[in-house]
Amino acid sequence: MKRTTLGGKVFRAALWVAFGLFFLFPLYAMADFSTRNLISGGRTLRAWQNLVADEALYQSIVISLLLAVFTVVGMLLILVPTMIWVRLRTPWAKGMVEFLCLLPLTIPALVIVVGLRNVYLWVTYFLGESALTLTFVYIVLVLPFAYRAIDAALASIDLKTLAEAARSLGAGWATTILRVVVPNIWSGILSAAFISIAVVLGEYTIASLSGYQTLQVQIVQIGKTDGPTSVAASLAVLLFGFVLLLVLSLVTRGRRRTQALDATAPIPTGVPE
Amino acid sequence: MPSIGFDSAKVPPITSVNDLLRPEYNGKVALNGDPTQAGAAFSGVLMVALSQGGSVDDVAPGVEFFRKLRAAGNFLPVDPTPATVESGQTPVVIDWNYLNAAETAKLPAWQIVVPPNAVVAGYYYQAINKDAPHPAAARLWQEFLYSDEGQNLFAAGGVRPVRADQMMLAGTIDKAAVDKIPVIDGPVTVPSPDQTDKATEFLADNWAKAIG
Amino acid sequence: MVRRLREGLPLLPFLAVVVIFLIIPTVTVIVSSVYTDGVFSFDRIQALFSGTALSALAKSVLLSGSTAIIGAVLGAVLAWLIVSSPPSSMVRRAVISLCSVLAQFGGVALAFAFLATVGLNGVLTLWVQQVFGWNLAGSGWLYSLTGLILVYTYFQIPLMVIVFVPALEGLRDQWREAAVSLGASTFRYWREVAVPLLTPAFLGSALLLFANAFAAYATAAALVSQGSPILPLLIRAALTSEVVLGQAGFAYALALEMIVVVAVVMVAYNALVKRTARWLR
Repeated sequence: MKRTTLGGKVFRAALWVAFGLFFLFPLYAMADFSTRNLISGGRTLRAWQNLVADEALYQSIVISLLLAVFTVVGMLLILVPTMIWVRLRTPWAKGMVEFLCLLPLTIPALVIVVGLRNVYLWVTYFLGESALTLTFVYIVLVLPFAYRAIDAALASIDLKTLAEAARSLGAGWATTILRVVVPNIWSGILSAAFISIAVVLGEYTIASLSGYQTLQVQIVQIGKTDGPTSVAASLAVLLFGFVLLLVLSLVTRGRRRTQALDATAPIPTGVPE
Repeated sequence: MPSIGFDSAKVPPITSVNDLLRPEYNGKVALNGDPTQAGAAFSGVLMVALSQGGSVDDVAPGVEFFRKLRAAGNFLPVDPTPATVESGQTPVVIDWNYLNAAETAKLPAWQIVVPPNAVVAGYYYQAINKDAPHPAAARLWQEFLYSDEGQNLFAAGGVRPVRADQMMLAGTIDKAAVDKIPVIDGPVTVPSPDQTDKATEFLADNWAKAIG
Repeated sequence: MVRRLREGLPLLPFLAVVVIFLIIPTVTVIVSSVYTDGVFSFDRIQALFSGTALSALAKSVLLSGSTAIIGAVLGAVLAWLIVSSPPSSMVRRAVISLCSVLAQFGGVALAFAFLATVGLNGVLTLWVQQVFGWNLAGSGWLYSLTGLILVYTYFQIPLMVIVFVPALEGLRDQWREAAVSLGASTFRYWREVAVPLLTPAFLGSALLLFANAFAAYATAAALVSQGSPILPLLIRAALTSEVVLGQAGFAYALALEMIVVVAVVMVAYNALVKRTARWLR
């Protein structure tokens, strides 16, 4: 698939530049504003310095990070086995699962919060009042994105054959899922994890209306009194998320799809199955 | 009370509400919120209505003024925040005077005008949710809000606390803070709950059409 | 029937989480739209057909539909760009990480970022004014539907990239080689092998984008805080107004309407997918 004609390369480069400009310009504008010295008109790092000095902001960062980790783990534990099972054993449930996984997106967060009130009275009764109880709600919130990513990955492998081969060789379901299927859908799982982290770090409505101090809630609060600092905080969250995900993708470099590919390549009869 | 704040470095000075219709303010005037949703915006529209010859019982002139503002292209539907003010996106903002005053501390060119015959006072009410998980804690919080200490904190923020008169008599008020709050000469309009209801009904029916 | 129940047992954890944290709140809200304070009435459902509500619905559908299509197409292009880079390159990882983060970037911060770029005193506005003499911010297009479409695509495109890249990566090199060895040109390969394989994933992702835009409100709330022109803003106005009280029931009816719209779109999507997925198992 490597077209190396000059026309192709130029076309590609032009596309990259266009996309790059579109996405990076607003970020530059944010950086520009957050370093502006409003009184004397030069540049200042005061807003960025505030980020490290603020204790409340630091606490909210910790909470949001923990929430992100718990949400991703919870989501993977619940969603991946479910989707595999639906494909293999209960295809009649596919429509329902898909609809359920799209529903969180259509119900505005405002409405979910109002409806959650009663449920959360019980949750806080059993599990206490930490912001970490938001994990369950966030798992539900990231379902639409995670479902789509994992579904695309599952659709591209021959799940039935893989599973039957593994089971016929004596593997239990845990082994089949963990050691046979997961490495093959790794790209989908990573995508799902990445988008989930981003969702949790960016979620504001439910946290604020439930009264928990997560990162976004704190940023908005700062924004009511201090413009540059809140813009700096938003930009910092973006940068931080970006770096975090970049590091994650580097660390998981070992699990390259290519190993799994060789094991699942269809017999080359030239006809895609 | 609602006021008009403006960046004197970017727009010519404003002396009255009618100035806002001039072409120099094209695409520059923002209101803090939607009057069918936010108390600040509601009071802002009331203030404009008073300046246009309306009254607390008749907000129609206020809505009409904003319709003209929109038709002239001067009205910005953006939600003004300190960030938009400081970056120059919203050079003119109709908002509570204490919020506008806070901006002056950060942006020295930011000035505030309260139209002389259109002074409106608004109050924010406190309530405790019947189904709250910790109603006793909520009541203690309200005790704090209405204590001398709490009221002085409000004064430090630039608003006139509700117990100000009593505290001045008792000598417990923070004089330095109160001195910074603008003195109000002349008639102050405070809408009653019934007048507020009537006005909000009118707004709910007509605001979206006027600025849509 | 019993067999189905037994087969469905492992689905229980998933169902439990979804029922408790999604279905119950939703049902609570729906029931409240017809039954509040002990009174059962369809008044609020009727209010859904008022001028404001219908116009908000139309604008929401228009906004979501157009950003879904634009985001899906452009996102697919960007996804293709990414996938055709070497698998372990820094560029690829960096772009995917950036897309993950930008896909969820919204609300006040995004609105401000665009204001600071093409708004009244925006960086780009000022630059264009100096160099070309045009006034980019001019008629206030940023605060109308057009502006919202532009701002929404800022997070729609990355979202499309995130969910579509796994599908693109599922296209095996062997299939292309097989097609070429049977005499197909690049165009034929795309038209008869790749596109049919990718269409279900593409449509599914577009559907996701539609739903994402349909319910998004924080960004619109910051850019167009006057008048509630789209559905989620109308819900916010009804639920959180400091001034007009007692509209919670209306908000719930609106939420019901949103669920119905997405259900309808899902049905259409399913019909489309059945037709295009003939070759897939």
